[in-house]
Order: sequence, then structure tokens, then C-alpha cells
Amino acid sequence: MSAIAVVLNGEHANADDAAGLSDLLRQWGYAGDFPFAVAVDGKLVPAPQLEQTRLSAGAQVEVIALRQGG
Amino acid sequence: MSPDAPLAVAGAQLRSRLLLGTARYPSPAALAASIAAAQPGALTVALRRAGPGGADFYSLVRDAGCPLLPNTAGCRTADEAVACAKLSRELLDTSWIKLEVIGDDDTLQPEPFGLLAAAERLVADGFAVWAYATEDLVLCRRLHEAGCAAVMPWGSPIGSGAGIAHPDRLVALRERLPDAVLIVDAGIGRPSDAAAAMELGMDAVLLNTAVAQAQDPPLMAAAFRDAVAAGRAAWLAGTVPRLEHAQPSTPPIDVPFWHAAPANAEGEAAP
Repeated sequence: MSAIAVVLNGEHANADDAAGLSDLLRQWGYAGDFPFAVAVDGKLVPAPQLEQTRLSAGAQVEVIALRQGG
Repeated sequence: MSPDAPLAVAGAQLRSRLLLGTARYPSPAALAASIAAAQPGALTVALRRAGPGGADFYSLVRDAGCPLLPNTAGCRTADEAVACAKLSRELLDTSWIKLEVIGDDDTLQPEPFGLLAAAERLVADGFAVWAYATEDLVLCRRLHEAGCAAVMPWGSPIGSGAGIAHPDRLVALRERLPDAVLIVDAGIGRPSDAAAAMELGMDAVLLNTAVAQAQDPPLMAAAFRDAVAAGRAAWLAGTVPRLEHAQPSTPPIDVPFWHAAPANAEGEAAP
């Protein structure tokens, strides 16, 4: 395993290329107290696939949640 | 038909024909109180990068007791809107999507070609599409024919509060698309605007800023609730046609004496 740099919601973040995305999300503070959806490089990663998903260096990770809207 | 009958749209029966946005309120408490006063048929929400306060907002809208309608606000192309819709389906486990594909940053009017393309793709993918459109008859007809659950012509530009700019076009939409669910979305500034839209036969109105930015949002929410109900009842009751001239409402027969000229002291008519 090795440390890689990724982009999390537009900000620099560190990740482990051997860790599953679900574990990485927990490390980044997404504790499951509200629902979120995840896209990597612009593509939705359905919840059942988060555990097996591995990131590569420079991956663009977007964690999306509900917000106020009209 | 009872004016209280629910609105059937996208497989649901909405308890109210007032749909409410959740943005621009002065506080979460004002939003919650406005929802309680409006008793809306649905609440619109957006998708954004997760940040602080996400859990609080989620629990507020989850507990509001009405369905959530996620939007694709900020999308400028069909590809962006389709990707956003898929994220919202993942997030909320709903096939409902308020489809916005914006074509101009000043007017925030829809980009009609991308809008129709996105609507067709999303309908084919099983989404119930609520399409934000202008009041252009051909665009709205194409969206309806594409299988959109609701077609949502604007009253006037988003957030402008300018009301119903072209009521004649809404009349034409109602006449030409009798089976479409038509919801005026955007531009509603006052309860009288909402009532006017409903009087023209729109099935519902969707508004946000007019309540959220009012001096007293919950009081304004209640005013809109009543205005929408009044406009709906008026449409069902059938409004009288406009006339170019007066028509006395009191019957002109059997008028006692007011047409007679005043008499003088000798009982003679004045000159």
C-alpha cells in the first residue's frame, strides 16, 4: 500500500491506495449521520460498490449531500 | 371536483398545490415554521458538496412530512443534469427530479435543447421528470410528449418576483395541453400572482424566494397557502369572461324614481 494524493470536494486529501473508499470516507469524517452520494471522476459510485472501490492518484472524489434549494 | 382534491403527479397524490423551495430563509427555524404554515405538497432540495450542517438540514426536511423533490440547479448541459439526477436518486432513493438546464446566467432561463435531451434520457432511465421550462408552447409540448411527469413553465425569471409576465401563454398551455401537469415555477412574488396562476388552470405553483425573503416568512407561507387554494377553487368554479364595457350587476328593471329629474318646491321638474 502507498499514500496517494486525491482531490476531495475540490480540496487536497491524502488516501491509501489499498483502502476501500468506504473506509476512506470514514477517515475523512463522513460518519453516516446524513445520507450522501459519492462520485469519482464524475461518475456515480453506488453505495454497494464503495467498499470495493480503490482510488488512484489524482482521483476526483465528490461527496454530495442535500442542501437548501428552490 | 373538490378544490381540496389532491394533485396526482409522478405516481403520488400531493396534499397541496403549493410546492415550496427550501433556500434563502433567514434561519432553519424560519424554514421549519414556513413549512408548517404552508403545508406544501412537496419541498424542493438541491445537491451540493457535503459540508457542515448537512445532518441538521437533512433531519429538518426528512421530518417535514412531505415528499422531497431534488433539483439539478446549476447544471448547464444535459450531461451535467443527467449525472446530477443519478446522484440524487442514489442519495434520496427517489426517481423524482426537478430538471433544470440553465442556458443564460442573467435570466436563468432554460437551455431548451439540452433540457429536452436530458428529459428524454432521464425518462428512458425511469425518472419522473419535472421539467423547468419557459412558457413556450412548443417547448412545453415537446417536454410533455417526451413523458415528463410535470411541465413547469416559469411565471418570470427565477427570484425576480415579477409575477406572471405572460398570462396569455399560460392560458394557451392549459388549452393545448389539457392532460399535462402544469406547474408555474419561478417568478411568483406575491400571493396574488399564485392565485392568478391557479385561476388560469395551472395545476400547482412552486415558489421559494417570495416566502423565504419575506419580512415574516411563516406568515407569508400561510398567505400563499390560502391564495393557491383560492385560485384553485376559482378555476374549478369557472371565472366570468372579461368584457370591454360595464354590465350592471343590479337588475335595471323596477327602478323607483332615481331617473326622474329632481322636482322643485312647486312639484315641477327642474330645467
